[in-house]
Amino acid sequence: VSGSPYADCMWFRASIRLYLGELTIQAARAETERALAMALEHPDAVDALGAYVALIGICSFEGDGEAALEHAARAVELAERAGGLWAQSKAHSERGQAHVLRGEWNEAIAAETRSLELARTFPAGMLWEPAALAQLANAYLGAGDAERARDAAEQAVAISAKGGSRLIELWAQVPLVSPLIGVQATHASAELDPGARAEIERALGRAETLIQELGAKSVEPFLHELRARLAQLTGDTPRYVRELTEAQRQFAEMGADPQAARLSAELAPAAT
Amino acid sequence: VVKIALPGHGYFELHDMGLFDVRGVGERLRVYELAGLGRLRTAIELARAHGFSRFVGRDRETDVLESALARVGEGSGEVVCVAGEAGIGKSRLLYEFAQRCREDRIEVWEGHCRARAQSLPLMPLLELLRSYFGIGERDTGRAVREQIAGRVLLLDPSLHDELPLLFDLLGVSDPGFPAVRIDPEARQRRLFAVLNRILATRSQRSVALFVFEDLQWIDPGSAAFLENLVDALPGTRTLVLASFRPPYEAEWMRRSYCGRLALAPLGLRSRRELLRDLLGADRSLDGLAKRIGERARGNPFFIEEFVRGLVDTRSLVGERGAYRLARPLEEKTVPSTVQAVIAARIDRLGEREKQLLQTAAVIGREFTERELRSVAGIAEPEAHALLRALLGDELIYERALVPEVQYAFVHQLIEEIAYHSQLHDRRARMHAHVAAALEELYPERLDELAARVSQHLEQADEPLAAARWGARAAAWTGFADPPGALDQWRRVSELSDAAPDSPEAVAIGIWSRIAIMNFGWRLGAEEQEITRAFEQARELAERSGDMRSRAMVLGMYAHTRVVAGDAAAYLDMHRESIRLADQAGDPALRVAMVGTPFALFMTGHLREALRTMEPAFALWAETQRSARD
Repeated sequence: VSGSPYADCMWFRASIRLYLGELTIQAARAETERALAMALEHPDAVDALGAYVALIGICSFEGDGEAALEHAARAVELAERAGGLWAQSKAHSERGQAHVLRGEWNEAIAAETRSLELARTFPAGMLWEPAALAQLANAYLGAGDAERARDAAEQAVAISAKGGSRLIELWAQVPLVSPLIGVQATHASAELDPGARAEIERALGRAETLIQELGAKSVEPFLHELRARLAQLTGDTPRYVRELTEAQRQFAEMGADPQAARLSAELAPAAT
Repeated sequence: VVKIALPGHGYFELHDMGLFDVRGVGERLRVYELAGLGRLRTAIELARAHGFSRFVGRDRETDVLESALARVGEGSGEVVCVAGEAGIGKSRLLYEFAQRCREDRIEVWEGHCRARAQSLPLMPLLELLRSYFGIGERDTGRAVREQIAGRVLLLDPSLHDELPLLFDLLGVSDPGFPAVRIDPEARQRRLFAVLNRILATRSQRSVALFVFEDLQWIDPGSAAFLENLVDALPGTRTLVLASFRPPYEAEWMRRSYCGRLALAPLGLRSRRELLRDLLGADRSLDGLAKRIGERARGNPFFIEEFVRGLVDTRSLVGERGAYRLARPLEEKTVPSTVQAVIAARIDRLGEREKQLLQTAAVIGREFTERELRSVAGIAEPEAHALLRALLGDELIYERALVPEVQYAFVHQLIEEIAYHSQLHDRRARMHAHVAAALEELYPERLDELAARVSQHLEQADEPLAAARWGARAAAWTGFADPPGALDQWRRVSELSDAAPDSPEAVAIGIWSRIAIMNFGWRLGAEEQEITRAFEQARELAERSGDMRSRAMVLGMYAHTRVVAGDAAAYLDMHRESIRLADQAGDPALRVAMVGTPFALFMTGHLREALRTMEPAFALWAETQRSARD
């Protein structure tokens, strides 16, 4: 089934334990880098792709776009050189994710679009389709196209839910909520539409349920941040501060220093 | 040997040293220094000496090829597709044009597709590469590697790291310099990229001609290579000529730089010209030419065979270009098809000659004398005598003399008819002999030849042995041609089904279907095919009672479903595969089944995924401890 099962198992274990909150970012990275070294020594060159993908995932938790892009460049190079369509689709999606982290929206849109093209070329690419759609939604949102972001996120949620890929569905819920909030934020002068609010709450509730079911403790700070954005939109400042503080605390606890620093900076004026 | 060594034959490169006095010889003799092999290593031109008829009626077509060559010389690569029915003169046109190119020192490489060889992966491609690298049939693995490395590195030293890919493709892997293991699709992409670089670099030096004949029989892997070659043509000084019988079509033929040349039957004037060349102008022939021309409907090969048939039956006497009709032709004895003419010619051979021709047809369009002797089980003197007779009858010609004597059928139709003119039982026996001969004669090329051996064994009604060799061929094909490998595995599964029940047949049946699933999901095979392969493999695995097989079959199928985005529905199947792997008591298998933790991870069963991997880490720790101790 795989050429380097130990390497695969190592980065799987590191990623899973990071999700479960059993490892800090730094510990997960160290173990994944060991897995990468092992995979790179293996004769099946493409085996290293999984470890690069795992490292990009860690960078996403941490908020480190620089490192993510570096890993993504290697992943794409490897997939183009040694992988099939399946590997290439995933690698391009990871590059898109790295661009999202860096706020490079057009590059992210291009990379995710390429990933989707590849994924849709053959039936076995369907697993990656919702993951690419979720990242595409993030990219559209960053580029200011909330409608397309929402459309992509809805597709991502529907496809992953249908296939039972709860991990991808969880990540698709986040960009689903963000554009809903984003669309409402563009009408800041008006009251928050009750229908939209219910929709946002429903998506947040589903994300919370998935976090509980999966035990994915490390995704919690992302949810707290989304709740803070919703509170900010409705003018509920105490809740905004509370949720953002909790997100910042959890990011700091898991070792996601750039994320924690970003939220600290946002919280500083609120504290004064 | 002395005769063919003389200048003008082209088999050897000779330097004229001038005239010398030789003691005991009255006149001064011209002495030549033997400098090497000549440019005419392939000896189809011998066929001219053995009766190639006059090349007529193809002026327009030749002009088209000349124009294409002129444009190619200016750096605009092109393809010309030559289409036409059997015997219409496609090969002859390409031969004449290739000869004209060789005379102008333009390098020419050829790949021929063969009837009954569509399931043999990459045959024309390998033929083309072997001729490009100057590889002989009897070269050792080391010699082949040296040939490849020498030629490639002279062209482009930066291709050094890619040499193992070419070694693998030509079946001469170097254990000390193995290729990096990459996904099969990536390997094919990379191989194509290497071949394109060679093409582009080579084309900077001079114009080149690639000839592919009989595309209607091309295998999928070679077709993919050809398409890649066509895509890489723009900007190179390379002309590709491809011939085929309609209705063959390929998507790349729609490219703007691909032209088409449809060969029409010879017109009246050309028919007359050809017949005048073949028959002469004796008054007894009045009316005969007209009858032949009408019956052959402008098909030059039919015309030639018709005349040969009349000569064989002594209806015509004299010699070429100066025949006379010895007795009137009866209408009922005039064959209506070219096939009938050839069949009658073969029937008129002596029994030994006929059997040898039929045996040769079982080997294929081309065959070496060694192969033929080994298969037919005859000694050298008898083989020489019989082959001389067949050469004299213009049924075969000497295709090459070095590094060993190789023959070919004058036309594909002769081979086809000779092949089908023998009883099934004899043909099956001969196929078995060919398989054994290939195994014995080419021990260093067995990976490359495995598909051929398998096909012969299949025709010999030995499905189990055919499946065994087919599996070897599929494993080798997977290196360079994933779709070809998938096709081979499909064939292997059918062969294993046809084999008498045995543990080996069951094992091959299971393994081939696991491979179909593995290649199938990567290459986008129909879901139905993957599911059918799974169901058949599961049934075989359960029948065998082998826990490892059962675990692998379930694990592989479940993995194909997960990557198709249907993870949750197949979780229980994954869990079952792990349970079976545990029961099998094979720790390595258990570790290798990482598809299950992956599925558990994607479906959000994070803790279960961790538990599933525990045995892998335990085994890893144990391995590390043992290594330290």
